[in-house]
Amino acid sequence: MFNLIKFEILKQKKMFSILGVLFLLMQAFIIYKTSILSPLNINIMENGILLIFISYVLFIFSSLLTFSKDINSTDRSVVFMTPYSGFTIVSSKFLTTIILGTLLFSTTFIWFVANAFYVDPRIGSRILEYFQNGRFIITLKTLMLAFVSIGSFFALVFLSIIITKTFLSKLKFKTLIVIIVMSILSKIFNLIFWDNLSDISSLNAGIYIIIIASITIFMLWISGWLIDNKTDF
Amino acid sequence: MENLIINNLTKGYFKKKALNNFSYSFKKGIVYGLIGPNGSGKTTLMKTIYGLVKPTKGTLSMNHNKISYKTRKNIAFMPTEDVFMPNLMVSEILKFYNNTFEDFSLEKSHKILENMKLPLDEKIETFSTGMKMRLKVTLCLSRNVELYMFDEPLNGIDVISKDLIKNTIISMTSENSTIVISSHALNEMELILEQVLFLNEGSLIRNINLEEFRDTENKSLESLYWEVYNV
Repeated sequence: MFNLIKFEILKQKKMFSILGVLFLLMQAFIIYKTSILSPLNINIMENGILLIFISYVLFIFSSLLTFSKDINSTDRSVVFMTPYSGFTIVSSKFLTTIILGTLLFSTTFIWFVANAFYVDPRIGSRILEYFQNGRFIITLKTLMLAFVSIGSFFALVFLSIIITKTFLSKLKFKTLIVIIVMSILSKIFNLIFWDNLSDISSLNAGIYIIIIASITIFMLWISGWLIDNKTDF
Repeated sequence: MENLIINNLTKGYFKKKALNNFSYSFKKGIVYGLIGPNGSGKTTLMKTIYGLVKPTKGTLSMNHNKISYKTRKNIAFMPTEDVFMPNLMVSEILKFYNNTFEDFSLEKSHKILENMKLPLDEKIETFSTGMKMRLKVTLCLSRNVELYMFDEPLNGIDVISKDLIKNTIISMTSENSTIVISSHALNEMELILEQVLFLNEGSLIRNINLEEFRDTENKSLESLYWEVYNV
């Protein structure tokens, strides 16, 4: 699996290079602005937040597009010609997305905090204030729940793409059907999990995380089974 | 001795049948040719043997093991399509193959690359059709397996590339290996094929041993093709 993950990472080289250049340009912009404006003007960081948001959207879009292309285009199907099971292949693609996503999140978070300190050093005390009164635990719980939920979102979309390729390949409105099925599934998912999270502090996050992670693994397993038994390449 | 056995293989895409009750047993050490017009089922047959296309009906086994992703360990397949992302370097693909297939030999691949006059440190996007074809053949031949399959290895390439590919396929495989080649280039393939399977609309319509055929009839493979398909 490590071999497949390494190969999948190679595919995202271009997208990460583009993001790297964008962040370098933003860094230059922040340094330039702080040199001509008041050094304590934290509003400059709004552009940084916008760039982080764009980078996340780009990453999600690129990951899903890469997966869709891998599944649907014969000119990228080398991974499906290997003697690995469908589950191993899908899991490697999933893990690559998770690893790169975590890397992107951590890098942008550190980048943002470092720049916020650079623009306005008073931000440190504000962050410390925020994390007092048990907020750190709540933030950690929310982050972990968000992490497994995003993972399950990727697994759900991967499964939908494979279903489209497997059972709906000859249908006219296959994309529309998949979007409807996905929306229904995510609505059910939200009803079960997120809509019940009125008070996250009292929640047993561990159980929720285990359930969501189990559903994610199950979706990956179905995807792998479909690749091994029903999908033509 | 038979190593690949196919029984009543059918592959249907809704109303159309790409393979229709195809049955055949491939023997070790023979060079087979799959011949037929476009849409006769040659590519589908090869992809089904490699486990890329799932049969609608029938059975396939390689050394008594049902065809699945696991049997790819014993089969090297060169598809007609380009299966690599263009921004990858040749060395990156070789590395991937080396880590994926236990029987892949980096040393052999470098030797074949040299024979095929291909660079190691260039991206595939800079390659011509002939170079891409030669690379795919190289990857296939760098493995040490019982069954090699080449889907249209001489398609759309120049005379020099055709010659390079044809000679390398024959010189780089062992005598115990089974080789299956599909091709429209009948004249070029005639001298290396031993057994020819003619397909039409997914069925095997004729099976000819070329050596016996040459001894008994004074005809070329191409004239036989015209005869078989009544054109």
